[in-house]
Amino acid sequence: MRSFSLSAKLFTKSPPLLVIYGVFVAFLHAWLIRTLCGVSSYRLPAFDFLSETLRMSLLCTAFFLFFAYELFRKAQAVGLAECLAATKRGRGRLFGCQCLLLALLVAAVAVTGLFYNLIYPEVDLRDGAYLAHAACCIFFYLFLVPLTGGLLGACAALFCKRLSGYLWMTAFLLLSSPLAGLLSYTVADATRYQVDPAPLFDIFNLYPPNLDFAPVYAFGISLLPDRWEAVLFWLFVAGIGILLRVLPPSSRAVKLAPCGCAALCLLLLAAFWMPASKIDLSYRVDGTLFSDRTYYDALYEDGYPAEQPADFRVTHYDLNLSVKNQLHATANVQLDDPGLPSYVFTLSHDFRLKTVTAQDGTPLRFVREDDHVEVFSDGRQVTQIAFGYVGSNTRFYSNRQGVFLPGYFAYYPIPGRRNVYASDLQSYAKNRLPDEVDFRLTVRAGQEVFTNLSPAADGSFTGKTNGVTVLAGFFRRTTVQGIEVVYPYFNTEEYDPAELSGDIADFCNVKGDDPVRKVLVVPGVNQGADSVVAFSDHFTAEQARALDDSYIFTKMLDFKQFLYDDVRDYRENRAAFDESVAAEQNFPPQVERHTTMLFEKIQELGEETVLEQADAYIFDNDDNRSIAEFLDDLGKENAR
Amino acid sequence: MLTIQNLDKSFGKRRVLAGFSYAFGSGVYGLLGPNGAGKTTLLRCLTQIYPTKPGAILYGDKPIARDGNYLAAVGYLPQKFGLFKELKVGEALRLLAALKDVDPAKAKRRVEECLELVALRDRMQARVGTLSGGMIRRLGIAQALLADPQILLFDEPTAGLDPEERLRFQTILSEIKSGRTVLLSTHIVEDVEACCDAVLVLKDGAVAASGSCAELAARAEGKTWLVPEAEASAVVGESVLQRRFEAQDGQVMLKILARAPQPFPRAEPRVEDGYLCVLKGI
Repeated sequence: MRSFSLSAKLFTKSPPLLVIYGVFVAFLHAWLIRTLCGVSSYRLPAFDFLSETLRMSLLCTAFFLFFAYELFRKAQAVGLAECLAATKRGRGRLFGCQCLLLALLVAAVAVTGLFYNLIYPEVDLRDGAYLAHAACCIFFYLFLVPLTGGLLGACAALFCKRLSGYLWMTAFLLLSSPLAGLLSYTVADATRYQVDPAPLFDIFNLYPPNLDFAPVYAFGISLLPDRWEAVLFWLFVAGIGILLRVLPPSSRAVKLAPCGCAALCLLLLAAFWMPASKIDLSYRVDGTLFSDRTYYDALYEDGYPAEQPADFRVTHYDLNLSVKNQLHATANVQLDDPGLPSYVFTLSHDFRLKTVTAQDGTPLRFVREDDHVEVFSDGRQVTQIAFGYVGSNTRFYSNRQGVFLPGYFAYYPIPGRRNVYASDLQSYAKNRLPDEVDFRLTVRAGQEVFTNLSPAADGSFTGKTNGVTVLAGFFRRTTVQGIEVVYPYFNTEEYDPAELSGDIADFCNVKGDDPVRKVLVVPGVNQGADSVVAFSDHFTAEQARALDDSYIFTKMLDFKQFLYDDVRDYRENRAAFDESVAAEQNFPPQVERHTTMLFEKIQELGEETVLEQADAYIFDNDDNRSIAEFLDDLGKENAR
Repeated sequence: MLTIQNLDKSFGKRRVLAGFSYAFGSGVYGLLGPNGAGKTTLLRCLTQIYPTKPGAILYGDKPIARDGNYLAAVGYLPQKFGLFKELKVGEALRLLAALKDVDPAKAKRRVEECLELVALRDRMQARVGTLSGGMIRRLGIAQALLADPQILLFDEPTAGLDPEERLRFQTILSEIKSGRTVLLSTHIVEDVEACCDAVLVLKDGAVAASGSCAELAARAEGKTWLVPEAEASAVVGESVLQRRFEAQDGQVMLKILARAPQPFPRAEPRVEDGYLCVLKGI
């Protein structure tokens, strides 16, 4: 304690360090007050303010990296280091005191961040889950990460002179900043994705995702094991350097402790690089943003293959999902025809098949080709096939912090040869089972699970549907006018249950007798058009607002949504329609100008005729003509 | 008290200590040697800043590499020494006392005693940054004494000091040496002559000669000559120029070291003459 108080005095009596720290803390306060005023004027959710606060993580890390260098360099610079090295514990003790001081200085910054988050007007202090998440995020991103930076700076102070130390630290900062992501994207783009250096930079990525993109409400800020592994890796890297310098060279610990740290570093690195489900909305080509366009563009360079419906039906699914770092699943499917020579299923290539067995547990021969698996009966009667598989998709995540497995994504085997990705949507295809099937679903995720199926007494979920959607994370459910809505509650602005009534009423008016009773608002992870999907018992949407429009979209072919928007704008918002027409004048010649074509047809044939035929065309799912073909055919004698 | 047996230390291909052996008892030992002879390396080995083989250095009968308490018995003043200039002298020493495990109850008194010994008691409330170079060296001695060690290791303690500070250092040393083993690494022969009970001449990482100052001086007995510069051509055989000086009569004289008898008057041999004879193999 005496050593610490004198070390602290050393800091308080060092005007340059004291002033620099004071200026930094003052800046932090000013920035947070400004953000608080700016954000609160729009009354955005508390989570947005938390995200803004966490953006300081990089700046804090940069500050403490250099600050700690100067703090720890002092003993070296004044010539005390050698003197202390000749004592039994002096060097270690001084270093320990300085580390404690550094930790306290970093903690003061983290507490500042926490304080402003607690006084933010929109925060609900009774919301334990949110407060726990916010506190963990602040601990991790505003304390642990900057402290790690500080210890790396301390390590640099022990090994490097100022110029080389500053160069190393600057290089570290650049590699850990979003600039590294931009660099890797540039390289990948320039080499047509032949070279992607992004994985090399992953271990440097210590900061919250909102440096690159808006965080996902349903998921929160990532605190997944990979984040801890990366931070602890660097913490132990710093530890190796510090122990090598601080421990007396003659002690046995000097050999064992750094070796122990090095072994831990290797373990953490191995764990970090183990396959795991993450969300990465940065510009990396294999991330969530482009998922899985790069893969399928390369795979189906010569065109997407034709789909083949199955010549059998699945009569019952028994899904067992275990969510850890990724999805571990077994899917037992009962078949209606046991005598076929083979059974083709679609299962996303993201999931690695481990076992395929028959009803008696004996293995079945199978061939896996990308998203498809053909299981051979080899002359046996196969009434049931059990698939055991593991993996994760870069968009549809399944990890310890959340689950997003929509029913239209082939995370369980779907009969037939389907395309998992839709080239026209530039997104995932909306694959549903051809008929309703009995499902029994068991999920072990360590978190509350939301699904379209009904909970059973044994903790599983059961029901009859043509697709099972599984969600977990920061979701809540509310029932309005008999419709159960599951929504990401961090987004308090959009999903205020009191304000959902109007939307649900509109939705009920539109859906009429449709038996859909559940709306699952899925996380916004750049799905685009594929987030709104109707199933026999539920539908998924990216927001609870304008559910009626979302519902209508599910009743038409995807590509017709553009014309639907145009027609609606023409009827209800002419200014927007005129803007679209004007905007199309700037389109390159090869791009079809639907809005302009519609406008010209209305001018030529009259509003009533064109809009009436457009309505019929939009909701006729047997009419596969493109929008351009339909508009072109309008007014022709033989038009359909 | 401190026995060194066949100590080797290399840095890469460069062998700095080559089979160094010596047994130190109580008293002040001067380590003389040219730059690179291994003086600092020897002291760093003795402080275990440079690890050594177990058994190469014994404190009492225990190898220091395995003696957890050995460093508590060592006070060390390295060549480059400084303290946090923002702290007051008393605070800086109290910090070091805490780092050196000095009993907290006695630390304040011990700090005052050590400052008294090095004649800095009156500067206790002064900031370290206001002290002169000589005072900083004295402060270095004070910090080395804080834990009341049995072994004191001083690396070039008088380098760069003015004559008054050097004399003060010699006085301090005479006050603190009692019952202790003090190793004084220096290339200033006068300091050795003034303070040391014994002297070791290091050459190429080993002890080239050892003994009392008188014994070292005796190495130059019959080999030290005073030659008028004008008659330098008359020197017989190989010789080493020790010094050139102006005599009282204004004649420029050379003090040379030569094994062969010379037709010139002999000079009284001194420690530095003996030291040069050892180094030059005369």
